Amino acid sequence: MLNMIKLDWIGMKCYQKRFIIIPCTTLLYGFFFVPIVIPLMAFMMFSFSVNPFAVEEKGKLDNLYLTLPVTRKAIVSARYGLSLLMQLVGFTAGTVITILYSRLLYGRTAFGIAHSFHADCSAIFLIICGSLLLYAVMNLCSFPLLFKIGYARGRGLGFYVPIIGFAIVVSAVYMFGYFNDAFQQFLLSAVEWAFANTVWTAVCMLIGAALLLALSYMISQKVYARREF
Amino acid sequence: MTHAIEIKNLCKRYPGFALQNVSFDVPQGLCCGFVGPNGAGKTTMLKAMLGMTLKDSGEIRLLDKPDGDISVKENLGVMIDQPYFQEDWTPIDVEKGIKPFYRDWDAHEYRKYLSRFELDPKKKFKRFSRGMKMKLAMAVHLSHSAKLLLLDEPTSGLDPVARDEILDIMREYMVNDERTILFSTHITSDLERIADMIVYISHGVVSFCGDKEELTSGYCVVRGGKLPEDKRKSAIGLREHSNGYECLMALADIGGLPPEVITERATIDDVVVYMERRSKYA
Repeated sequence: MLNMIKLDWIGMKCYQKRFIIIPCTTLLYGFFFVPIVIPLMAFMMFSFSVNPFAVEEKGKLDNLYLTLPVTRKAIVSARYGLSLLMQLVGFTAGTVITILYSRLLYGRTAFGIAHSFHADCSAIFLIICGSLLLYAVMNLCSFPLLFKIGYARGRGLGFYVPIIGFAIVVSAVYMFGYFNDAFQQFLLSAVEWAFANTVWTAVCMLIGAALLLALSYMISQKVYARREF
Repeated sequence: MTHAIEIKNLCKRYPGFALQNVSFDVPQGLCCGFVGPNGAGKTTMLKAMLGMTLKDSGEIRLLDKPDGDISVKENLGVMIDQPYFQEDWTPIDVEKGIKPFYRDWDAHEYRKYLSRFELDPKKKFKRFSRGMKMKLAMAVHLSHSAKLLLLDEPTSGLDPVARDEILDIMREYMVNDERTILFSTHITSDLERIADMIVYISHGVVSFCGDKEELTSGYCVVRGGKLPEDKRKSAIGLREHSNGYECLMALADIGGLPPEVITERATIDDVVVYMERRSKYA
């Protein structure tokens, strides 16, 4: 599997230079809103981890991968392994940037923006768990589709459609909360409870993320094992 | 005799096409040409051998190992239509990516072949000509000591010089008795030059599997003014025109033809073309 991860990474040669966009973007957006750094990093790392599918399809690399002494199972595992490794790098870099920004900006106003986010351990842990859950949802929405129908068709269905869906759900919840005081109160109390019980909230999100990722992995294994080339 | 390839009753059904009980063996140490018209099932067959296409039933053994045994791929060299490497890779990147998968990878040998085939190790794959791409793939296969090459139309789209070079590499590869090649092609002159045996597939069915000479020596092309009625059944792929007729005929059947008839030794092309015409107009 490690060889396959390495091959996937080498295969992304043309995209590797673009990797620099990720810290630059998070640094820029993080300056305006520090808590966004880690989720943004998770999202961008996830987007980047989809590139092996694009490279594979563009160069018809299935014709190479499936002729190497490697099982289809290992190909799927490697793709998940690389994606998780990228998330790990993203969370690490995101945490460092968040702490740095928090130290530099906490309690200050820069360019008219007042910074009030204090990055303590529990806040960062909670954000990481939330971001992991976000990554797991995106992964479940797209990876099995990408393995089943490839990048060109899978990207639209598994990437943009869930993003649009997520935006619609968030907007709907916001609008509903705006017009419905009881619902707004419920949301606020849920958020308050989450911040008061960070450990439980984080554990719930971690379990949720692990289950979604496991489900995504199992579906991907199943569909890729049956895929015809 | 050890067989490098053993296929038994292989079936694969698609809408509108099926490989039907395909069976053939290729002994180790031979170069086997895989011929048949477009859509006959050659690529499907090769993909089934590699597990890229999932078979419905039947048995495939490569280098004495059953399908599903992934270790067999350590000894395979495969090219489906053309080598597939990432277009920004250089031959150095190709080695970095591929080498870890093969225990027998010989880096020194790889460099030697790159130099011999005049392939710049730092040039991007997309900048290579088709002939150079083929040579790069051959350098990869030779560097991990592949014992069986499965090549899908390796010489198609190449100019005569590049084709000649690829055939030379294949011929050189076959010097070692343990090595076997199965290659599909439409260029039958390549078969005349390099193949020891031929597997002929048509409409998903293997019509012939045997020695190259056996395929051609049993037939001749017959041309004449008017085909006698009692010979019509023996005529394969009969074409009649205003000046007469032409067909393929088994040598055993040519006795009794009028003396003015012209008979010529059949080439592989002739056999393929007339056989196909027979199946098309049957």
